[in-house]
Amino acid sequence: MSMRQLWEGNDSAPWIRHVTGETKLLVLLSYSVWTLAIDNPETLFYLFAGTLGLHLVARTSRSKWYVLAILLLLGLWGSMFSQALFYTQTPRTPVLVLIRPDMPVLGRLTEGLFVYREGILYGAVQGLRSAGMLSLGLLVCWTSDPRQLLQALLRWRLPAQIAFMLVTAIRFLPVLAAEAGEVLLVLQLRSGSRRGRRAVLRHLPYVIQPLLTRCLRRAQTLALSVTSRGFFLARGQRKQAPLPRSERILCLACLAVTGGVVVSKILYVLSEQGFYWGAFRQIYDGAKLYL
Amino acid sequence: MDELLRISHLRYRYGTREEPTLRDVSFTLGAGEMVLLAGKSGSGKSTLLQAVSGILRTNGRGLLEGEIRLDGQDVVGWAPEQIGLLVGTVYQTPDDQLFAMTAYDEVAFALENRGLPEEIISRRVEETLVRVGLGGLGARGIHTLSGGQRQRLALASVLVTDPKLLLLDEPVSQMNPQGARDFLQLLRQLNRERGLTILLIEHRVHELAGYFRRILLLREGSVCYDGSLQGLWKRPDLSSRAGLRIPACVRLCRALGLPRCTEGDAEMAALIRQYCRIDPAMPAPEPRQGTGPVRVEARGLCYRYDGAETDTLRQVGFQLRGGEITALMGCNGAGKSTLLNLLGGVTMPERGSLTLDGAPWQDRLEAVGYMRQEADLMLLTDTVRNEFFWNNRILREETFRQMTEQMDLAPYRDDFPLALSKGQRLRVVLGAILARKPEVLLLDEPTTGQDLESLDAIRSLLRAYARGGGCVFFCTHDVELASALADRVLLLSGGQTLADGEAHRVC
Repeated sequence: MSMRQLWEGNDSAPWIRHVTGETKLLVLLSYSVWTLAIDNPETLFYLFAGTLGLHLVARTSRSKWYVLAILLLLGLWGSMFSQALFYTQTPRTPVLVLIRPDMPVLGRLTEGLFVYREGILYGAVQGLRSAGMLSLGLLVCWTSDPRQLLQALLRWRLPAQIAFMLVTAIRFLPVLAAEAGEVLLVLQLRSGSRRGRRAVLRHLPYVIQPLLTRCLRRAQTLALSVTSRGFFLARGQRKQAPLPRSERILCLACLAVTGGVVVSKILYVLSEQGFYWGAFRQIYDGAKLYL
Repeated sequence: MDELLRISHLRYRYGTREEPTLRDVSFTLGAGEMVLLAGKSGSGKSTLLQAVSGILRTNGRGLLEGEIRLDGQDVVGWAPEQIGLLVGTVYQTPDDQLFAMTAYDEVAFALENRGLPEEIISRRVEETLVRVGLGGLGARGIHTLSGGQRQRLALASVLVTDPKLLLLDEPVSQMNPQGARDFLQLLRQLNRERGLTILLIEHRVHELAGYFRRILLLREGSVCYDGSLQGLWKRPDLSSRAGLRIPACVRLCRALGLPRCTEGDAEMAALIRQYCRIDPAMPAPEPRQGTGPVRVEARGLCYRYDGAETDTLRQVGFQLRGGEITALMGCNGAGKSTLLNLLGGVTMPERGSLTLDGAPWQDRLEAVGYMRQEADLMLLTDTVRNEFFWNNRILREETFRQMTEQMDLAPYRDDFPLALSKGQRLRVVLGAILARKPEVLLLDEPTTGQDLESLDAIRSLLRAYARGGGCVFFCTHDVELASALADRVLLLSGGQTLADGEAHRVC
């Protein structure tokens, strides 16, 4: 599979490709609210696992799973590792000593370096938040036609120019991926040394400028192309089909759950501040256990 | 013939420039005409096209004067989207203008914007796809289509709204000769069968000559010729000043002093038989085979792509001598790019041996300079100077100055490379590669989309490099270029060597 195909969305299951842009974006937005509101690692894990389940039923290709796995593992590991080392809140329990405080030079400089249990947990929570968003975001990206998302944003009354800019980023993802590979190859070819011919990491900083320049040029041509095809003229004329019944139910369920989570969380936080109402006891319990 | 487009005394100056790009352009286009707009880089072709599409009005703070009447209406003050209802525009690179995921959705986009019912959209999309030769491919992902198919799709995406005028900005410049011929044939068919008015920008007049009756020639922002191609060939001063590459047949007619110039091989042969005396005893031209030592030796090279059922390269062998320029030719899928990738070190041969001066190829990779087809992607920095000096420890300031002077790049040493013209950009890349003093120079389609001026500059550069003892190995579809520049031609077919010999014999 080429770099370009890796970022395209036409190899996924047909059912998810036919889900409208509005539904996909609403699920994504709801999910982002859930992950922000929820602090419970177990619930966050189930939410994250749910996104992986969606990838499974959407028949995400093997190559895309590889990409997803690399991005997720890097994100999770980075978050947990950094928090485990640099967690500053108390209480904190060291589970491993990397540099003892009484060690000459380094010990005095760092006042000791420890791996904290609470830091690992905190990092895992943050990591799960970003991993879930990344996983669902990629699913939307890999299964959506840019036009689908554009129509969704326009239905939400977003100005056409802004909607176009947002969707252009997704439109160019496959092309950018292919060109990034080509630029990297060029960097290797233009290296004067044998090591440079094989290196990847040392060339990465130079990949951005040629890509960005071309991206700006492409965006201009694309804007001209869609403009001349009547995109910005057609706001009132564009046909807006109603959402299918199943999607309407899903959207309403997402909105209801989001509302429930946000309200429960607010009530729970208020109860901790002393604003406690006995009638909401079950909500407090639920929020404490699952949110 | 009814008048569709009238441009009167059009003048345009970009806000950032002192001199106008369009000086005084006036011409008319009749409904159902198919016209070629030519001229060298910087002559104002694309600016004129932008003026007609209404983009100049919104693009920057330039000054537009004059009149553009489209279908009887003055459209100078119109927004691009309003003009888009009458004019369809196809750009150079299809990848930049296609927006949707499948071919069907792409073509449907313009109709959806007009709020048409689904059944009408579906019918018109299918009809348009069939019309451009993409029938049955509606469900295909855009990026699974070939380059030629994508350009047809770009055409379909504007044709679906039945525009009165079709503007095309170098639509075939990135295509191979067969793809370009097919595309132009399609345009001619649309013009003849549906009466579509077409204005196409291209400087490769020598390849497109047979498809257009009328040519508009722009030079320094003004129309310097408006008439038939036959008439243009009678004015050699004009065509060469406008940077046009004249078809080989026409040049031969002129050289032989024939009473008229023609682009057709058969007609030319008849003219030669009628007016010239052929001396069978005349000596054949001296072969230009390189006489230097063998530097590159390839034996039994084989390569197969992952998942492919057959080898792309099968037992390919050849030698390259120092000071020799070799052209690599063949149809699409012959294995040319694969062979260049092997030589460039991008991939490794599965079988066979490859040596440079007797040493294994992998040990001498740093001595190989490889210019890829998309030269723009090889520009990495923000000035021409930095491009030359990028990761180059052997280049000295004096040499850099000499090189940029030889390449006509001296005034642009501190300019942003991607803001230069296409020919200049290519010369910057080539210069940056040559500044490393490679022993073997590989070039993938180095002349695609280049005008005559740039072509001449590239030829001079390559000849100078070969005179210094380097090996040049370039891949091209351009038979004329190969016979003019190369000492030898290696012809591939189906991954095997079909011919390997002196250029004038193989071509």
